[in-house]
Amino acid sequence: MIDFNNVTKVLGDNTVLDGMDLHIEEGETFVLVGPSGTGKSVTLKHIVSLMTPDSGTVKVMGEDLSLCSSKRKEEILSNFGYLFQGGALLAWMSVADNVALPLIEKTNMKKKDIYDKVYNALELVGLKDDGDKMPSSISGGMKKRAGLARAIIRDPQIVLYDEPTSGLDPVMARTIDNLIVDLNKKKPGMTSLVVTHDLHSALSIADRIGLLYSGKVIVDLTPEEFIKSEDPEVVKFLEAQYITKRGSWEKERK
Amino acid sequence: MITREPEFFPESRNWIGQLGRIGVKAARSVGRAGILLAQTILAMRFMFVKRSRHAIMDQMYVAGIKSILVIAIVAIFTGMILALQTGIELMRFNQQVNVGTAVMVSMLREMGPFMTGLILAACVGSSMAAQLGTMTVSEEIEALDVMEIDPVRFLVMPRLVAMMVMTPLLSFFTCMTGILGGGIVAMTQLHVSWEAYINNAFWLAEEKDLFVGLLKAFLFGIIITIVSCHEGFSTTNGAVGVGLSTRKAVIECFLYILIVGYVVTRMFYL
Repeated sequence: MIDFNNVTKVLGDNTVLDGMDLHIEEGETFVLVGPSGTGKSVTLKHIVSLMTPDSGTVKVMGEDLSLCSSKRKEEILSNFGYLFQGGALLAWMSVADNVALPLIEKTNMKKKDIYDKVYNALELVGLKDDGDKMPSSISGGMKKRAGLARAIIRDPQIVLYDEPTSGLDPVMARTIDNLIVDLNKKKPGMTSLVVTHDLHSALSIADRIGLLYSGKVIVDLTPEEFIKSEDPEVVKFLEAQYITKRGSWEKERK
Repeated sequence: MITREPEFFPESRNWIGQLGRIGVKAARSVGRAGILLAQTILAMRFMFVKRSRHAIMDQMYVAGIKSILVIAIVAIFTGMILALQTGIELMRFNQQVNVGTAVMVSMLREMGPFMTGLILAACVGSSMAAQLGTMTVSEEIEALDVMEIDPVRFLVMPRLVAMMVMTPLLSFFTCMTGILGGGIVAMTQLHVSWEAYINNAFWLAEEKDLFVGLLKAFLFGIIITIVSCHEGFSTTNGAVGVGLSTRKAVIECFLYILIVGYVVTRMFYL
């Protein structure tokens, strides 16, 4: 579904991605973890063509977006949903209008059908009664949930999550994790790529976890394998978040 | 797609390098603004679509109606100052009755469009740059790009159409309000009757003065929109960057308004 083949990206004096290889299968939830500044968000931006690699190729659904025509690129991007780190809601539109925006701009649906779908999506993320509120009057967690509703409103095949739990309290972070898990259950076949430095979140929701370090994905393991890994960088990352359990890790699901 | 990758310029080692770096950045900025103008003009084919019409009407309200009060105050006092300064000198020769001509021609040809352009650059241009700059640093522009909603069609085109309509209208309003202000001074300070003032005002003024003034205002509206939107989209470095972009947008608008105003005057009056 998503393939990075020997991708290198240099920003200024920093080699952010250095011959990175990554392969994500259709229908799986892949979590990319790593310390801050290692290129996790840069990886996501390459997938939706907000950035292009200096060398190597990034293919989505078998196609390199940088070589596609605008029309083909638009067709492929219509299969994506993207949850930005802060939600990226448009400040002058209400929550409901923000969620409706992709349908209004990109489809010919009637207004009533659009807003029926919007409020179903808001109910899914627990914001059914908050559609009329403005982004400035809602909390960070609510913004992320609204952003998630907007990301899934067109029933995408691939959803990208950029630090979905950053800046949130532990309770709200687990709420977001559960939403991601529930979404994957309700839409089997949907591919999710989550970028985070929150290992508690990663271990809860992932089918596979990759650790991005020095511009490469140095490990690519299931959560059970990840927590038992003896790789020094993995151990360092686990210990930094006080995760030292070496037995089986039970994924907590709501 | 409007979103651009971060840019990095290598440090230059000497003053020649610094000059070259400034020149490259300036040329790149002007080129990109030109591309934005071309993209926005192409996007105008969507301006009669229902959601675009709503957006255009909203921008016309923001650019036009909300600026009327400050424009009216500035225009009245500009007319009053023009009439007073000119009238005082004309009184020496007992020719204060001709103050109407001086005010009318000045307002139509230069003061009306310039005052309007500068006020709109400060009020509306700064607001555009700040809003789009904030959207850029908050990843809202990236979100639009990922949703394949063209930010130029969605954000810039309604603003450009609104300013193309409202700036000439406001310029005309400025001219008329300035002439009114001049008339107040003529009657109260220079002892010229209203009828004499108005008859004299239309004596030497030509239709050409009105149309050239409106053309200038039209061009100023385009300058303000494109420069401000371009600076907004180019914002980096968070809140500090938004402030810098806003300031830069206003200064650049002022400069381009003065340059273009001179060029148009030169083209039509020499």
